[in-house]
Amino acid sequence: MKKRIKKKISSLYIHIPFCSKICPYCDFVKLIKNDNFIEQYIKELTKDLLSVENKFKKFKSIYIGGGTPSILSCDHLKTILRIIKRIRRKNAEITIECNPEDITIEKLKLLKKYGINRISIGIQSFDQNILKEINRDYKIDYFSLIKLVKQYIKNINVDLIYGFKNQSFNDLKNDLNNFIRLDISHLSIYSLIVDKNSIFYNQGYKEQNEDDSRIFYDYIVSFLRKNGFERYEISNFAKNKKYSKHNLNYWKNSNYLAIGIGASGYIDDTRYRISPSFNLYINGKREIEKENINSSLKKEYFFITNLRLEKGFKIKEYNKIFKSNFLNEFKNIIDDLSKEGLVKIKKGYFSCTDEGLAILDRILLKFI
Amino acid sequence: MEYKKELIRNFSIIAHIDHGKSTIADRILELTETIEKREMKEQILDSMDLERERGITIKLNAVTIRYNSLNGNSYIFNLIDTPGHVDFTYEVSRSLAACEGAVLVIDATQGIEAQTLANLYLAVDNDLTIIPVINKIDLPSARIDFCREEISERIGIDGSFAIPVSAKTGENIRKILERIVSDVPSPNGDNSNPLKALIFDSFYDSYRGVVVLIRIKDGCVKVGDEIKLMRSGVSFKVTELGIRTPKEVSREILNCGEVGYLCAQIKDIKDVDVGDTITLLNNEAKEALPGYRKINPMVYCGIYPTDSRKYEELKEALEKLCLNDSSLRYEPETSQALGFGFRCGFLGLLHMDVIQERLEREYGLDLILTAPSVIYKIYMTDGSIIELDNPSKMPDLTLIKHIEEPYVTASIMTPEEFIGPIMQLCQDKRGIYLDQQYFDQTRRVIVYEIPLNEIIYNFFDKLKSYTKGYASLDYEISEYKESNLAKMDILLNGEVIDALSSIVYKPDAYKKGLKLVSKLKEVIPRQQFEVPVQAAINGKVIARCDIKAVRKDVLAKCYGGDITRKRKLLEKQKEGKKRMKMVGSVELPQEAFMSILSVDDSND
Repeated sequence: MKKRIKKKISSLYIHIPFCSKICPYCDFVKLIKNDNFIEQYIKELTKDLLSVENKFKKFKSIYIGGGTPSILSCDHLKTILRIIKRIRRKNAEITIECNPEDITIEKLKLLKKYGINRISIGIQSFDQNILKEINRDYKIDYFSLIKLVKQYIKNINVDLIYGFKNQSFNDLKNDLNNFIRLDISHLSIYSLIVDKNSIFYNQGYKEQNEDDSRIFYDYIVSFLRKNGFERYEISNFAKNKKYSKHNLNYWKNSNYLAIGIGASGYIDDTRYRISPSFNLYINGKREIEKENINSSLKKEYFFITNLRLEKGFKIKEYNKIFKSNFLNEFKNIIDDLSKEGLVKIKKGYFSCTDEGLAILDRILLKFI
Repeated sequence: MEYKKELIRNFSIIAHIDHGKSTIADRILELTETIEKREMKEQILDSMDLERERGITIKLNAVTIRYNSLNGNSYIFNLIDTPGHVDFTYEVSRSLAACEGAVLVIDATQGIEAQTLANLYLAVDNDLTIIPVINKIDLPSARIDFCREEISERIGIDGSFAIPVSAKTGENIRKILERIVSDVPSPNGDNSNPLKALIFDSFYDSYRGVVVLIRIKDGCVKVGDEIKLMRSGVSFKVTELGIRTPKEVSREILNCGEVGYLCAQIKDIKDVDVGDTITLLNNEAKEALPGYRKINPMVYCGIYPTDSRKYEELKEALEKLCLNDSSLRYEPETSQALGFGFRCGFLGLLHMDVIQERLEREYGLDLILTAPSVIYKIYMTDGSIIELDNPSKMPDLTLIKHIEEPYVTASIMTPEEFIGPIMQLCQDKRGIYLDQQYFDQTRRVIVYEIPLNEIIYNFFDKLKSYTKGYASLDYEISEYKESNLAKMDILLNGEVIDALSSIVYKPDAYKKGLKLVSKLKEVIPRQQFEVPVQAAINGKVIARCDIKAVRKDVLAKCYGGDITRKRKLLEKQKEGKKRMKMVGSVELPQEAFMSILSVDDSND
C-alpha cells in the first residue's frame, strides 16, 4: 500500500463545549454539562482526532479550550489525551483550560502523565463580589491551589478580566497584586466585552466607559512591566519569554486546525468554522462555514493579527508574502501614523506604539 | 358616453389623516365597479409607494366613475382626491375649486379634528355642497350621536343628515352616492362660452410631455385646439384629451363640467401652475378663474451628496423629480464644508422629507441635508432688501438695519387639560397669543402667531409629547415681522463650518448654543485628536465643549482563533465610515448637520 503523505500544520485546537455554570459574559459555544451528551460528544471528537492523526503530521502546539475542558471526567480526558500523546511533537506545547474549582490532584496527575505541559486557569478576578456577579460564587485559596498545580505543571497562565460595573481602580490593583503574589509567568487580561450572545448583553449590562478603560489598561501595562512582564500581545503578558506558542501562531496569521463544535481553523487558504450545532455533530455531520482567503483578504488578516503583537511584523516578511513593498504601498498612511506617534519602524519590524495599540482598531481601518 | 351636463357630479372627499378617506374612495370604486375588487391594490388613489407607506396622499389624482342611480339615471361622477397635509393647503383649495360638492368624513371614534375643519372651510369658501359622513361605525367605541351633535354645533350643518357608514364593511356606501346625486348640483357653464379650464394637477410623461389634469368650468376644448395658459401666457396645441377611469380613455372633446386630462407637448412643468386657467387662443375668456396664487417654497435646505463624486447623479435626480413637482426648487450652491450641492426649496417639512426619501430610495443616493431654514428678509442700511434662504450667507451685521422672519397663525386643538403645557410651549417658541375658543365641551382651540422657524424646529413633536398625542395642529402663513435675530456659527477645531450655521433668536442664543455644542459632542464620534466645538455669534464664542480624542478602541480578545468575526466587525466599521463626511480634519456623521433640529430648547 502506498504510504499517504501527511500534511504539515503546526497547531491544533480542540473545543470542549461543556460547562457546569454559564458565565454571563461568555459568548463561546457552550452547553450545560450533561453526562449523556458528554459521552456522545467525546465519541465523535475521538473520531475527529483519529482522522487528524491519519491526515496530519505531528503538531507543535495543541490547545484544549472551551467551554470548560476541566469538567471532563478522568476517563473522558484519558480517551482524548491518549490520542493527543500520539499526534504531538516532542517539544510541543500542550495547553488545557481549567476552571479553578475543577482542579484535583487526581486530574493533575493524569494531565502530567499524558504530557500536558501548560495549564490556563480562568480565575477572572480575586474579588468575591465580582466573582458573585459573574456566576462564580466559590471561595478558593488560590495560593495553595497554584502551589499544588506547580508541582505537576510549571507553565501556567491565568485569565483575568477587568472593567466590571462596580470595579474600582483599587479593586483592579488588588487583583493585579494577587496575581503577582502567585508568581506565575503568563497572564491574559481582557477588558470585559458585552457580546451580543452573552447573558450580560440581554441584561443590558454596560461596558466600562472608554476613558476609564484606558486608565485601567495603562495601569495594567505599566504595573506588569514593572514586575518583569512583557506585553507581547494586546492582552497577553509573559515573564522570561514564556509566550503562548499556540496563540502566537494565531497572531502570526499562520495555519491551524480546529475540531469540535463552533471551532475555527485556517488551512489551505480557507478560514473555516465548524457548525456550533451539537445535534449535527453527534450525528456525525461536520457542517462547515468557509471563507476563501484570496490575496487581499490575506493581507487584511495579516494586519489584523500581526499588529496585535508588540513586536509587530517583519517588513521583509510582508514583502515576501505579498510580493510588494510595504513602505511604498502604505507610504502616506505610515507617514501620518508615525507623525502621530501611533506606529514605529524598528530593526526592520513595523509595529504599533503603546498609544497605537490602545486604538489599534482605528489604525487597522486605514490598512484594510 | 353621451354628454349630459345635468348628469355630471364633481366631488372631493375631505378627511383628517387616518379617518378613512382612502378606504371610502376604494369602496366607492368597488361599488360602481370602476375597479374589480381583485385587481385593487389597497387604496388605489394613493399611487406612489411612499404615499401608501406613510398613509398620506401627496399627489392629487382624479377618477371618472359611472354610477347607475336608484332613480334610474346613469351619472358621471368625477372624484377628485386632495392631499391631506398642511404643506399642501393651496393644492387642496384648487382641487376643491374643481368640485361642486364634498364628502366630509368624520371618524366616529375621534370626532372633528382641526385639520378636517381647515379643509372644510376651504370647501365652504369654494361654495361646495357638504355631505357629512360618520365613518367607522363598526367600531365599538363609535359615538355616532356625539358626532352628529358636533356637526351641527361646529359646522352649522344639521347633523341628523349625516350618513353613518363603515368603509371597512361597506355599510351605507351607496347612501353616500345617492346623496351625491340628489344634493350636489350639476356643473354650471355652457359649451358655447369661451373656454375656462381649471388646472388642478399635472405630471410629466416622457412621451407626451406634461399631462395636465383639468376641470372645464366653462366652454369646451377639442383635440387640435390652440390653447393659452392665462397666467404664464404660453400657448400650445392640444394633442390629446381624455378621462381617467382610472385607465386613460382618450376623447376628442372635453365638455363643460367635465374632468379629464390634456396633453399639448408641454415640455416644462413650471409653465403649468396649479390654479391657472386654460383658455382658447382664438376665443379667449375675458378673465381667468379666481383663486390663483403663486406658490412659493417655505422651507429651504442644502442637499449634498455624501460622496462628492455623486454630484452629477444628484443633479439628474433633482431634474427628474422637478418634472413632476412644480413646487420643488433647486439651484446649485457650494459649501466650504460639504463641497458642491444644491439649495432646495420645499412647501414644508413633509415635502422635504418626501423628496429626501425619494432621492435616497429611488435614486440610491447617500445625502447630507443641512438643517432647514425659512426665508428671512434682511433690510440693509443702504435701503435694499435681501431674501436669505441660507444662514451661512448672512451679510455682515454692520450692514444690516433689521431682519424680518415669517410667522404663521397656528391653531391648536386640544383637550382642556393640556392648555397649560401648550401655552407654555407656544411662549417658549416665541408665540404671540391671539385667541382661544371652546370647540366643544371638552376641547378648545388655541390660536397663536408663531415664527415659522420655530414650527420647523421640533414644535410638532413637542406638541404631541406635551399632550400625549391628543392635540392637533393646523397653520397658515401670516406675515413677516421684525425679530431680534443673529447668525450663530459653529466652529470645529477653530474653523467655521458653514453648513452648521443657523439663525437664532438672540435672547435664546446662549442657551441654544450650549445645547447645540453638547448635542454635536454626542453625535460626532471621537476623533484621533481632541476637537473643540464652539458656538459663536459675530465671532464671539458663546459656548464650547470638547470632543475627546479616542482613548481606547481595540478588541481585547481575538476569540479562540475566530478571527473572521473580528474582520467582519472591522468591515462594518469601515462601511459606517463611508457614510461620514470629512470636513476639514473632522469626520462628521449625517446627523450632525440636523443636530440643531433636535436641540431641546425648553427651559429644563
